[in-house]
Amino acid sequence: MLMSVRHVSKKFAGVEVLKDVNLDVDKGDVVVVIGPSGSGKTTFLRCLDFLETADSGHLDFDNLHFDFHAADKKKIVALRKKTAFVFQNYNLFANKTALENVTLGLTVGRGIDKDEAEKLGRQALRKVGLLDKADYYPNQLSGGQQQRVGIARAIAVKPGVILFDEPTSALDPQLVGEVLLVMKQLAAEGITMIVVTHEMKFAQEAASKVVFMADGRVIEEGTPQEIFLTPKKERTKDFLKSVMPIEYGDPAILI
Amino acid sequence: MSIVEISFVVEMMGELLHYVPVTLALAGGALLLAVVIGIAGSLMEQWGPYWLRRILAVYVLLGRAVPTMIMLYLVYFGLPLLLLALREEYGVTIIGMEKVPAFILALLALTLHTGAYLIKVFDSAFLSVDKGQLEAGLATGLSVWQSYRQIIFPQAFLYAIPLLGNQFLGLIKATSIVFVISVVEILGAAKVACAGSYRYLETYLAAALIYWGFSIVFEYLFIRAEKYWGYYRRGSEQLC
Repeated sequence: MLMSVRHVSKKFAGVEVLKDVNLDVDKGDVVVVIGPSGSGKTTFLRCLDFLETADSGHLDFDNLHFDFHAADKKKIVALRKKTAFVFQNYNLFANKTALENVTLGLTVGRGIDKDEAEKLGRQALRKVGLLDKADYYPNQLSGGQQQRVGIARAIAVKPGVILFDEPTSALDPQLVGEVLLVMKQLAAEGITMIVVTHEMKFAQEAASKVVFMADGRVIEEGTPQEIFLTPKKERTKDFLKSVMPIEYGDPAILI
Repeated sequence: MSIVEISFVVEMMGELLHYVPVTLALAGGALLLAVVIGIAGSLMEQWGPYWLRRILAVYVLLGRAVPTMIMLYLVYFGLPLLLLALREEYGVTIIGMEKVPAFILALLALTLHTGAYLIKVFDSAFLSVDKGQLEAGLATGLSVWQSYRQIIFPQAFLYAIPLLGNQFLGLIKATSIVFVISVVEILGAAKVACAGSYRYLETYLAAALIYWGFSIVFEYLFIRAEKYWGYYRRGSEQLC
């Protein structure tokens, strides 16, 4: 077990947004978390990287143990050095070039020397097909390109797991494909990923495990086949009907 | 004889220009010191303990509420007393405290005054940087300090530049009142000159021209600085 998350709960101003959420992630897993807006998926993901502080629960990751509400700052930094996060609105460092965005975590974050970091950085950019944009600033890149740089920034540090927070939600429809393509490629390479998304096709095609969340709870989890073809809970069925009225119930499209 | 004798104005300008270094040293020095106060104060407002934030709030309130001239008087008359009291009560002695030059006191007063404004300026500059930038820094494995140094400061500073330019032009004009505590700069020198020549209009016109000159030059320089520092914002137009 690479990562085990237990009993995560969190309130925002008295409102329970996460209620006893559990998750197990094995090495090489592609866990796709789906669910309606406001279901707590993003908050849950952000708690895993301590971008939000959960009120209770604990996390085991790669021999590190954390109590969410009382985690040591140094250990949090250690955790973040073993993980990477891809943001909904990219959050590329605006004052750094694409290459610098990718290398900053290596040089400043992890003390790798500049030449080595640039080599790794260029490899990562090549992987997302943006080596020719290495010296561009985020401002000069399209949304899809920015998100691919965001992914390059994540893979360059060779993390144990990459957390994706709705990586395509801010993109124009025609730019979504290029980002999903890169993510599928990473999934195929066996990189461990936890992906919060509304892209049902991605969940069907790339997930090893699909988690359906609603109202701050995990309602149901299983393989893509289990969730999309034979969902057990009414809540799951309702959600799937609403997001994919055509595909749902038509196995031919899936298989 | 014309109403304004141009040659006298030019001659006066030549004389007053000797005091440009005093004005610039006061305004420039106060701005630099106030930038330090502004950045440090703004960061402490965000990250500091409660009591420190309260003290800063009082400073920002009082510093901005008091006319610059009163601040000058307070420092000019108050600081020497404060230093004396320190010696009497605690035996603290600072070299040169017997007679602090008026220039230093003026610099201090302008710094205190401007610092209060700059805390607000840097508040807004830091707020202008998307909070996702810090999150991305942290998620990438950087510490808070590393994130600030690499990502937040450079971007916040860019947002602050036009406001600093404003503040600096204001400061240059504010230096014209330090004459009240006997520091002679451009306007002070003009006053002294008037007392001898009685040619008020020409003399003050000469002073005004110099201030206009300052304003034009520094406005241009701050715009250049903003362009220079904003290198990463350039080039988006090429894309379209």
